[in-house]
Amino acid sequence: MSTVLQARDLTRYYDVAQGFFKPAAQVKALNGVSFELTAGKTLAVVGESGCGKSTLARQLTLIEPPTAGSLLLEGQDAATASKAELKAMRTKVQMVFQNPYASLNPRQKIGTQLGEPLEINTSLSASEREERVRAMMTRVGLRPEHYYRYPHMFSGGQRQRIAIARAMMLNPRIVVADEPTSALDVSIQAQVLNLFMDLQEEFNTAYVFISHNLAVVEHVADELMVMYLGRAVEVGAKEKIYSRPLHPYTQALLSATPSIHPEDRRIKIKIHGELPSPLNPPSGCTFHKRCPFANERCQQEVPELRALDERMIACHHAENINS
Amino acid sequence: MTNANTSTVASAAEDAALSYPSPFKEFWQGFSYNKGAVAGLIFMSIVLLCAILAPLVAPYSPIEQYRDHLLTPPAWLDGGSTAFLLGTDELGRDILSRLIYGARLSLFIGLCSVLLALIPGVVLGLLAAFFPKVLGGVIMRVMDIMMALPSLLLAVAIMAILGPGLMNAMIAIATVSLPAYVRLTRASAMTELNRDYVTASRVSGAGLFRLMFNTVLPNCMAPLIVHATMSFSSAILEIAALGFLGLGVQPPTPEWGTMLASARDYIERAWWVVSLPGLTILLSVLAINLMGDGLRDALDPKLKRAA
Repeated sequence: MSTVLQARDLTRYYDVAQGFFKPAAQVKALNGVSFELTAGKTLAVVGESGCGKSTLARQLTLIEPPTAGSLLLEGQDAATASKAELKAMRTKVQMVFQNPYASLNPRQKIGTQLGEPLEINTSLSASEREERVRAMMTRVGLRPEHYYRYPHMFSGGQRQRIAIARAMMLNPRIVVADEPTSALDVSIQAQVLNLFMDLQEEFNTAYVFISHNLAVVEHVADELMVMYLGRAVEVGAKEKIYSRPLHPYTQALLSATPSIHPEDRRIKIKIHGELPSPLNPPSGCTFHKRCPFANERCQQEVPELRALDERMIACHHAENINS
Repeated sequence: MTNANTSTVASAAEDAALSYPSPFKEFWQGFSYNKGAVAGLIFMSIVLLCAILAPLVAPYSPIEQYRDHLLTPPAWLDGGSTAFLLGTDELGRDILSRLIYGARLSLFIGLCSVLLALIPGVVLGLLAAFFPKVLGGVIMRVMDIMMALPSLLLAVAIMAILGPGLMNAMIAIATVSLPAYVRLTRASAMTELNRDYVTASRVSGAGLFRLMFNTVLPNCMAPLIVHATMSFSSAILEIAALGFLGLGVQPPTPEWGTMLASARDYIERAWWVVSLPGLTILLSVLAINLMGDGLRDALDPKLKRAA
């Protein structure tokens, strides 16, 4: 049970131009998120659109440096790493994208694309690379003749398998999956999820699984992080949160999951209004404008993540609501 | 049991080897699927062969003047003679020989000025797309300035700096057509840069050069190939314009554009002196455009039939 990744107060702001003669505004896409990732385990990140899930993915894959906060990969800080160290660190975190139609280069054959990470990062000969690529293709359920094909000749599910194979080529410690099944048919989703889980068992890879499909999350996750407007509102073991959500936002989110079994259905909690603009987030608890339990304290004081009932939660009233 | 297994694996490998031809053969399959492209290729091969073997193919010297046969019409017209198949021009030079010798220079000019514009244009365009803030801004503003000047004027100004001569004329024409390539490359590279496969390549550790030339550029080729084949023809005509101003190819040297420009006084009396070089340019340009189409299709895996 070794920790492979530690994120501390990860923050990312983007400057956006407002027009001539107006100062640039800041989008607070990610506002102090902390978590730890254990080898071989899956952390699921859930939240509605615009809550900073994909921004988090971009920080974790080291494509963008965070505005503030630190990211420790196997104990090594990404902010202080030299260029060569950073290059070595990059190979440890790979990514699987949401849209399998855009994530493969349309002009390269599958074999070439899968071999590219090896070509860049290892000194294997061409025949050794081909051998490794073919082994990985068999592993993810592709046929040998697919080696010479172009991406447009594949279905969405097959493409996602190829994307997973590419992410796994370097045997990374962490794979960030940004809604990997949301573009697929339901019948294919299960296959792809099972492939993810088989590979995790085999390579002991840690997953950061970003999704808004709570049924999928329940299937794959070990840990769960619920995000709202760039902040984590509830973090903990999946069973704990699914069986007894404490944060009012998590409760609303989980109650929105449809179920065919009447006994599994939760009482629908409606939350009103839209996600506030991250350009101008509300003061205090960012959820107070939509929260049925909000009072004056919520408008003024930012709730910190604190331990309660075997999880971390950011709510002033967690005890009162759930007693 | 194991024997049976290995044999199926071996035959599967053989099948794969059989159904996946070498890259060249694959390219030719895609290219030959387009009949127009093949026709263009055949025509251009003939022109190219004539150009290379000009001393053997051409019936006369291109600069020798037959004073007794000024403005002889082509052989199939009244007054034409089989001695001069395509007739003679105002100085009694054989037009067929001039066209054959002219192909050497015209094709060379077209090819060189396209390459001289294409290569720096693609590099600058990619740089502008990859570094949009400072470097991209500077490159694009310089290109805007070049686009704001009338192209012939700019070419003449560049010739004034470099001095007359064929090589300098090609550099001038390439410089004038540079902004179009930079803009085309930058625009398509910018859209490609936001795609997930570029991010994926970055995450797997690809450096700047690999991203630029291996990942992004092949996906930007379609508009570039079309534009390059089209500017081939305008390069020939612009060289003619410069030659007309006394800056490009100098008169006795046979060259299609110059032949067209110098013969325009005789358009009413002897149409063939103007029309034949014009027709040659037209057919060559058409052939090159058809070839460009075929090239674009052959290089686009999406248009290939599933093997």
